[in-house]
Formats: sequence, structure tokens, C-alpha cells
Amino acid sequence: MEKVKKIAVVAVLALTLLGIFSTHLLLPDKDLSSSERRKLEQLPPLTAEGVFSGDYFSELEQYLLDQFPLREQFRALKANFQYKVLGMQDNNGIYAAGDHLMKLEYPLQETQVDMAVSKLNSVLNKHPEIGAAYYAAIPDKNYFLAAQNGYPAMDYEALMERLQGLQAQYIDIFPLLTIDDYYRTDSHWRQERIVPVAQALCRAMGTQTAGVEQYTPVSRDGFYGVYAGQSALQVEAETLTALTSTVTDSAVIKSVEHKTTMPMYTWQDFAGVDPYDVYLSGAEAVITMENPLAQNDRELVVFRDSFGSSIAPLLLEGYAKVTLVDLRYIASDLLENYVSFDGADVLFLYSTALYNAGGVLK
Amino acid sequence: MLFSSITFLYVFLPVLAVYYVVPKNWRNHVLLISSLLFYFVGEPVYVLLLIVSSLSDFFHSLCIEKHRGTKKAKIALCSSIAINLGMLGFFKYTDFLIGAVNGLLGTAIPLTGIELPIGISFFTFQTMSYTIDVYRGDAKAERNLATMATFVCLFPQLVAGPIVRYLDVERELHQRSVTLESLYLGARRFACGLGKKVLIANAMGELCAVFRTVTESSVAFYWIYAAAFALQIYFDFSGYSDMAIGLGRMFGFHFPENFDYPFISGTISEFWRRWHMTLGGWFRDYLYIPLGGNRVSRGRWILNTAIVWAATGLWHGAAWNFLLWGIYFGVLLVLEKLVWGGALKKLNGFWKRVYTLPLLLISFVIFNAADMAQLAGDLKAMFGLGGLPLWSFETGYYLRSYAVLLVCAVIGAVPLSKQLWQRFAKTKAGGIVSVAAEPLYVLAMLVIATAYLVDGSFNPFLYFRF
Repeated sequence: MEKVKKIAVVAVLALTLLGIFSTHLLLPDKDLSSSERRKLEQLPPLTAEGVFSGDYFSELEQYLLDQFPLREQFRALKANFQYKVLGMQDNNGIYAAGDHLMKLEYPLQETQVDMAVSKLNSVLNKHPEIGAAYYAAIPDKNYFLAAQNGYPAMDYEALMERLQGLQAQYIDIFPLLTIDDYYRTDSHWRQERIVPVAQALCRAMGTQTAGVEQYTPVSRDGFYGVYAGQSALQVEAETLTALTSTVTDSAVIKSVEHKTTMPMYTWQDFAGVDPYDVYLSGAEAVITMENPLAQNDRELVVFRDSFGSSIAPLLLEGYAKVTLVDLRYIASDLLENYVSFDGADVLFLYSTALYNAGGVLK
Repeated sequence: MLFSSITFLYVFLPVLAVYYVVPKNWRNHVLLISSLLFYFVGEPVYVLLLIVSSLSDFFHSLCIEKHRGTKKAKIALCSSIAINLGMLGFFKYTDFLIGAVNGLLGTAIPLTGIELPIGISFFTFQTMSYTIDVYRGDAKAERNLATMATFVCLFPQLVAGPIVRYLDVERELHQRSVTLESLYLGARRFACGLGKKVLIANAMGELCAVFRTVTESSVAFYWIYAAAFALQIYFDFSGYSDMAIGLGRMFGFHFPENFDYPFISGTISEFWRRWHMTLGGWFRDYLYIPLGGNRVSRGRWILNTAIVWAATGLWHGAAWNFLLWGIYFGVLLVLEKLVWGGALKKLNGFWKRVYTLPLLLISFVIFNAADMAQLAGDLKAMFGLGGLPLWSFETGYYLRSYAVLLVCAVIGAVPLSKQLWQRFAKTKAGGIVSVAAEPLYVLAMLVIATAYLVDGSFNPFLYFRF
């Protein structure tokens, strides 16, 4: 018996090391990790410079990590071990509360918020031709989940107080949202649930937009949000919905950056790295949306993050033209070359998470 | 290269299986080449230091032996030590000394920015022990350069110990055997060390890192941090030692033990008989005893103790906090011997730990301080002088989150579970259960550690910086 045990221990070690080594050699390399939404490292080129600087070996380790056999299964094992065996509250900063997944977003970075306020005020000051300026903050899911479930959360009241430094009129949308208005596996809100938010924004800006009954939902099953992959936990897929109407169907949308027209909803992106890119193709520096069916000639410029991509189509009915600006991808100094502010309403519409990382605004 | 890296576990080690199929007289060459490659991966240029060190100590020891008992032997010994200490001093202490001079004299001598070669404190101490042992006549000078270089470069203990003296492995460098028993013991020890490092030390390291980022700290969180760092460094370093000793067994070597459950110590002097035992032994045999040890006047003994502990502190790092750390222990050891040692002996085990553990936690806070200002802040906060509340929401959150791991770490840091298992394994039922349990344990450690490595990136070995 003793000898069997010893042979078994040695065999387990040898077979594991040699087995994974062989499998690594035999399996073809992959290009993408769909769960993590990123490209995977490829075998680094062997150069004398790389070897003697040590860079080659760090890149090799990263390559081996990225191309490790059964990598997704190992990540899932770690996540489950961390949550279920060690009882840890989060895994890589991702936590589960009820059936929602979320990333810890705290503490309040006061300097970052102040940077956002300063940057946005500088836009207002640089463009006196702006009509009226408004701002709103979209609560991230932690607002509904963190403190209630014993997780640390940023001080939202303090955040809102600091945002009062913005030289714009505040539109409070917090009371209009609940956790059910967000995807379970993603950070974003659900477009079909935020029509009242769009209506409230338009109302506050002196215009109006359609009610939910005037939209036709188009849905795709099999949506896994950003946290599904990051958490490495087994979660149920969701349904991603986009709302269409005569206004969204007839809108003329242009990417100012790429000088091309584009559809309101790019369903081919549903199978891409980030399915939420369905809404206005995801990250774009400047997009214009023209509404040929508009009842007025008012224009709106929305400074936004990815949350803005899904609510912008719902704001269009109240305006003849909506311009979406993402200051993460274009410097504010360059805006005059691409955006007309003349008499336009301006809405700063960012998630609390983005305000809390305001340094990313250029 | 890190032991807990995918490159090491799943490329380097599988390729090294060639060790078991080559003729026995080639095995040292396989180990030497693989050791140089192992070091080259982490330090492509500084691998030359290893080669220089091997050549230097090889020829110096031959010279010492040839001229034994003459002045030439002494000169050769001094030359060898000067080269080793010169390398160590140049790479490790130059900028520290420049900083000290600038601080004291107000000069602005620029720092050199020289990078510390990984493991230089370990391999220089190993090679110095070799030439000193040859000089003393305790060891014969090695006449085969490849064998000597294999000793100097032997990768399992090259970069983070244990500090293996030539005498420890002299016989095995020339003739060793790999048996099922040695493979079994080595495999089990290696898997245990990997688990200690990846599952516990890294997690404790994450807790220490997050401690520095919280917005609402508390007095309690400072003590949790002190405990977490003490556990991190213990599981990190003893885990590495376990892996090194396990690898050594698999290659047919018997490396000395480095840790013996130090946190159960009832006194600080007992702690140092259980913590980093090979370093303590080195300073005892090559510094403390040559200085006269304790067979001198009280004043001289205190001076000897101060020298040894200042050196021990500085060995760990070229910074004031390490010097303070060493002196802290030196003072405690003197006080234990001269003032309260007698009273300590009368205490029972529980009260001895009540005495020892807080002192050890404070020592590790000194050890991990980034600078003296942070150290002062940490110590003040631990004793309620930092204006912090006793408890905070974040303290509760992170304590809840790491509670199971902290309990596991504490259980793993005391010998009770090992003793219970050994007692059980000796019974008939235990013998049967262990046939399945031990392979499963090794498999679980490997698989779970691999899962953590594949998913995570927090993986530094603390003792690599020494």
C-alpha cells in the first residue's frame, strides 16, 4: 500500500506537468478571449535584444498564461474556489449580489471628479454660443447593490455635491432607476427600461420624446455582459433589446471621425467583443444623428460614455439633431472643428463610475 | 524565473525530466546548464556574476588548500571573501551608502541606480561558507569546476534559499541516488510549497495591498494588516523553501530545513531558532562565533550581538527599516537574556505567545515599511495614536472576505494539523486513506495553484529582493 501511494504521488506530479506541457505544444493558439474581451498574447519572436533585455521571457510567460490549455475552465475553477470554498466576497473585484454581477467601484476619487468638473466647465467656457447646459449622473449598479449587500461603496452624496461645481442645470434621474433597469451580467442599463429617463431628460430640457408604447423592441438572446467573462462564473445568458421607431428608422447617423454613415443599431456587433456595441457601434469620438421627422429645429450635444449610446436614440425625437461626443476619444480643444454648439442644448450625461475617473476626459 | 510561474512549472520542469534519463555522470552537467538557464531567464546579464563567483571560489579554494597553514592561504581566503562581499556591497549597498552620505553631509552625490541581481545575498553567502570551510579544513576543495559551479548555481535554492553550505551537499554533489522515496517526498513537499505560496501568501499579499488603498482604515485594520503580512512572508518564504527542498529531494539532494513553525515560539530567541534557520546558522557559525560568541565579557557580548543583528537586518535589505528591524531583534534578545528571560521561563505556553506574537507583528510592520515616515505612521496607528476609529466598515468587509483564508493560514502556521495527520496516517485506517488522500492532495495543490496562476498576476516572491 505504501509503495502504491508513493508511486501515485509521483505519477500525479509527473503526469500533470508533462501532460499540460504536451497539450500546450499540441493545441493551436487562439487569437481572442471572448469572455475577457481581449486579444490573447501570441508566441513572441525570439530576438537577441528581447532575450538579453529579459522582455522575451516576460512575454513568453504572458503567452503561456494566455494560451494555457483549458484556460477558461481553470479561471472558472479559481472563481468558484474563491467564492464557494474560501468564502471571499469578490473575485478580481467582481462580486455577485443576488443574480447581478458587479465590479467594486470605490472609493470616491475626489480629485478625479474635480478633474471631470473642470474639464466640462472648460468646454462651456470655451463655447459661449451654447444655448442651455444640463448635467445628469447615471448611478452605476453599485448604487443599488453595494451597501445593501455589505460591500463598500463610494459616497454618492459627496459625488453629487462635487458635481454641483458644474456650470449647468442638474437633472436628477436617480429616482427613475432601479437595479432591474440594468443587465445582470453587465454594467449597463437596459434600453427598453430607460424610456422614462429619456422622457425626464427631454422634459427638463424643454422638449419631449416618445413613450415606451411607441417603440418596437428588437431582441437577441445569448447576451453575456462584461462581468460574465471577468467573473469566470457560470451565469445565464440575457436578452439584449433595442427599441426602434419611425424616428430611429429614419434617422441619418454619421460618424464624424470616420466620415461614414452608420445604422442606429449594428447587430453584427452582437457577436463581437462587446455586444453592447450594438448601440451606435460602441466607442466613437463624435457621432451626429439627424431626425428628418423632427417637429422643431433644436439641436442637442450630449457628452457621454457608453451609457449614452443606448439612451441617445430615445432622445432623438425631441430634437432635429443630436451630436454625441465622447471626450475619452477626442480632445475637448478639437471640438470646434467637428461640433456646432450654436444655440444648442448641451447635456453632460455620464455614469457615476466615469465621473469618478474624470481624468480620462481629454 | 519564479517557481510559481507557468514557464517554470509547465515548460522548465517537464524539459528537465531529461535529468532522469541521462547517465548519472551527466546529471551535474544537466543541473548546471538548467540552473544557468533558470537564472538567465530572470537575469540575462547578471548570470555572469554566477560564473565569476564559481570561478573565483573554485580557484581560491584550490589555492587555500595548496597553501594550507601559510599566509598565502589566508590571503586567498581574504581575497575570496573580498570578492564576494565586494559584489554584494557594490550591487546591494552602494546606493544605500550614497543616500546615507547625502543625508548626513548634505551632499548631492547621484545614485547609481544599479539593479540588484536576484538572489545575490543567498549565493554569495553560500560561496563564502565554502571557502571559509575549506580554509578551516572542514571541507576539501572541489577539484572539478563543473561540480563546483553546480553547487554555486544549483537552481532550486539559488535565488531564495535555503542557504545551503557546501558541507551540506558535498557528498551528494559527487554521488547521489534518486529513489521512489526521494521522488515521493520531493513531489509532496514541492506541491505543499506551491500551495502555500500561491493560495495563501499571494492572497495575504493582496490583503496587505488593499490595506494601503482603503479610505476608512481603523486600528483593527492595522493589526489585521500586521498579521496578514506576517503570514504572507512566512508562507511565501517557507513555501519557497518547501519547493526548493522538494526539488532537491527529487534530484537526490538533502537541503537543510529553513522553517520550523516559528509562530509557536514562546520567546524571541526561540523564534530565531525556527525562522530562516539557515541564515541564523550562517551568522552564528561565520560571524557570531568568530567574534567570540557568548564566551566573552558582557559588554563584548552585547557588542557582538549588536553586530550580528545589524548585519542580519542589513542582509535583508539596504534600507534603514531593515537595519532597525535587525537592531529591534538584537535588543529583544539581549533583554530576554539579561532582564526578563527568567520571568519568561515561568510563564505557561499561552502567556508566552501573548508576549511573543505582538512583538513579532510589530517586527513585520517594521520590515515591510516603505520608509521611516510610513513606519512611524503605521506604529502610531496600531497603538491608537493615528486618530483612527477602532473599527470601520471596510475593516469588517475585508475581514469577512479573508476570514477563511486567515483561519487556514493560522492553522497552517502551527504544527497541530500536521501532527494529527501523521498520527492518523500511522493507524490502519489512516494508512488506507492516505493512499488516496496524498495523491489527491498533490493533485489539488497543483490544479488549484495553476488555476490561480492562470487567472491572476499577483505573484512576486518577497525574498527575491534580498
